[in-house]
Amino acid sequence: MCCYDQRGLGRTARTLDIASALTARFSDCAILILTNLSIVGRFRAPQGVDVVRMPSIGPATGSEAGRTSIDRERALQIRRMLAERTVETFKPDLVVIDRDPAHLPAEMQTVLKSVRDKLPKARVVWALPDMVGSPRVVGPRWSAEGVCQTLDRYCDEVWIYGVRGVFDQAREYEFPAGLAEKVHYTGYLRSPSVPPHRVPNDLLRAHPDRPLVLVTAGGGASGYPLISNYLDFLERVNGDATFQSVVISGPMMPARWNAALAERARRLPHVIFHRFSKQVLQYMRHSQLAISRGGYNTLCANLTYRKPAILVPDEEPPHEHLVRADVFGRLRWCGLVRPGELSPTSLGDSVLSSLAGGSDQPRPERAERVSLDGLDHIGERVRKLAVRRRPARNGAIQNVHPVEGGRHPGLEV
Amino acid sequence: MVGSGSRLLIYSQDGFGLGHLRRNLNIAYRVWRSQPDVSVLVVADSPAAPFFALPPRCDFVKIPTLVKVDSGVWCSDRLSLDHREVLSIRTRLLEGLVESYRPNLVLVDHMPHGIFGELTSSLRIMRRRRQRPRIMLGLRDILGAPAEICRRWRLEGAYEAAEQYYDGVCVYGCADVFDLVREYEFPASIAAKASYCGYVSREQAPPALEEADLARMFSQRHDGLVVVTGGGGADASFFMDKFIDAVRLMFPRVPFDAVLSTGPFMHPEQHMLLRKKAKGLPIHVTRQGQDNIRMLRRADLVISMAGYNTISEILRYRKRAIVVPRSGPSAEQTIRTRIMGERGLFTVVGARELTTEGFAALIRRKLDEPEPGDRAAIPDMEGAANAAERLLAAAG
Repeated sequence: MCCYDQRGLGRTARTLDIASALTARFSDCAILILTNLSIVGRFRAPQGVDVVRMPSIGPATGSEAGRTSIDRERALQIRRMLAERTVETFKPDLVVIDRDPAHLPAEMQTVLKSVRDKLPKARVVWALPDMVGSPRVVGPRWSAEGVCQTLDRYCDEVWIYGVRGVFDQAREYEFPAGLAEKVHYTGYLRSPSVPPHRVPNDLLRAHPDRPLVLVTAGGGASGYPLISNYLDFLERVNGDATFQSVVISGPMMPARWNAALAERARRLPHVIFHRFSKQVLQYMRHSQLAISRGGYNTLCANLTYRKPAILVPDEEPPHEHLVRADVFGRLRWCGLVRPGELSPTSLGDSVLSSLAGGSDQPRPERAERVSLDGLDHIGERVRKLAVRRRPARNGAIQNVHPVEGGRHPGLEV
Repeated sequence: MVGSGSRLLIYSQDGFGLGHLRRNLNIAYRVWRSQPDVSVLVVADSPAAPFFALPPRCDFVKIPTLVKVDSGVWCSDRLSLDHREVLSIRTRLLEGLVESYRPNLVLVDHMPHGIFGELTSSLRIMRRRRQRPRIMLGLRDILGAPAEICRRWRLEGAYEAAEQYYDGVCVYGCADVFDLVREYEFPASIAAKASYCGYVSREQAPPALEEADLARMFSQRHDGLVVVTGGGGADASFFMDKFIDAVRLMFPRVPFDAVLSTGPFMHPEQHMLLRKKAKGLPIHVTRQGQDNIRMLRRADLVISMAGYNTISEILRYRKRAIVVPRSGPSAEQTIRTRIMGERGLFTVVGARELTTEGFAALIRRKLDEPEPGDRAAIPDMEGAANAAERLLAAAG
């Protein structure tokens, strides 16, 4: 599985979740995840899954711009080499690629071509979130880059981790007929279940009686305005808030901004501030309201736990967050603060009225009939595409299973 | 002279663990300090890599993980693949990195030709190149018991590799602590290119924890601070458990607060058990390995295992310490603590010998000891600077 995150960590995070579901379903499958995410080591890969990490290009993720170690051309060359050789030596039966198809199309094309050349039997799938951006932007961009032709030429299937009834990508982005036939809508990806008793420690020590507002900014690279406005709002109510907040800024927020926000949060009562938390789903589970930028994974968690949400998308083209927030807002599943309207007052008003919980408030329960069975459908597609085709190898893998319990052999310090 | 556009490739094989990576990043940071133009690419295989903040102009590639199960026995960390399959993926990726990154300086950490000789083909490729890069081997102060290391190096052909491919060998230790060249019977050809750099510790370490940080961890502050750490934590639960017993015995007259940092590789169950067990005691249990050094700098007493980096930091910051070496599979920690313990640099106890009463008494006694000052016994701690200088000079 290849995932390329540009500014966030969403693609890699959901690819790990999918890999985890696949290894649970197919016990002898081996999955190698190829990613550029610099903080991939913070996620523990599930059993059966290992990671190859490629260098960054452009400004290194998680650091101030201009800190990249390797010049762009060379970094691209290394990445291409890593992808090609991983494919060549790992010999996957199935390759699933989760990335923006319009981002560095030349890089991807070389890799796709080499998969086709070297592994003619491998199946290739392109994966897309429920929506990629505004049709006005995506359409022209994709046709300029020849995206649809590339996808059609090299991919056996296109998986959309969404629902056609919510957003019909094939129609909105004008897929040619051949490509449209390859599309499978998998449904949204249900977040893992979180046992209710798993309460994060700092929450236990805080104020169990106060309702909880969770504010997350995904990777955090462009999350500053959201969090800053939220803290502004709290500073204005000046300790009179009847709720408590957990604010997670994101590991890719530049250190200086993060430090400034952390300092402001520290001065406020009833605010827990983290830069990164593995317990974000636990917080979500215990929240009464979740504020986010409208990233795909967060939305899935909102739907899974049926949490009222306020989406505060940014304006960055191709407007993926904005389109999602619009669609979900129109369906009255989530509240929405538009980019131009973001202010401490507008955000605060939305928070207060959501917590007051009038019947006119957007409710995730309205999305009841939307499929969250994406992981099952993906498993089903994988079974059809790959598993039955290589019985010999699967058998071999079982026979050479590594030493049981060899996972904690003691640390070589 | 190494100029702009110079490229340093570092091979850091950790498997489960972070110790080698930590040391290599310390050196990379120092290289950047001397030569900000050099770009550094670290090839790591720790599943938690990079774990620590990378120095400027440094990026990393992670290759599939192989973990050491026993001396000379390796297996795939999580993939249900035979180690040979994983090895062939790694070998091809390493060759590719040498070809596409085109380093002019290479630092290989502690395994002259990698696991099962996975580096041999890459080393050959580099040697054949017209503009041959300089290739340096970096060795930790103590690799293991001399008999065992000599046997393995002979068996695996590591001596030949060190002789054939390397321009120099940096030993991150001191000959008067452990004369690695002699102990591991280096032939004259390797001995001639080896030099002792001193101990590598973290450069530009973040400041000690502040009172405000501690106030957040403890509802009521005591005077002393004891920091308990076991590196990555994979096998640290045993002595941490005993530490909690010892504190329980002192309770309620515990003259200190304790931070117990379990580490990223401790099994989550064990972490939870320690956390539960420490309830009601002035012990803060955390997993945050990145912040260990901030805690250590603040500590009045450090209780730790004897990994290279922790020991270096204890020595560098002149901390009182009780050290509990890991007994196996390699003898590295027992050798290190035996020599340094004899020099009076810290107190050494065996994990199995510890009784609750004895541990409690020892902790009290250590806290009353005067702080270790500038002792002559402390070895050279400028390893990172010396190694960086040596590397850059080799690239000439």
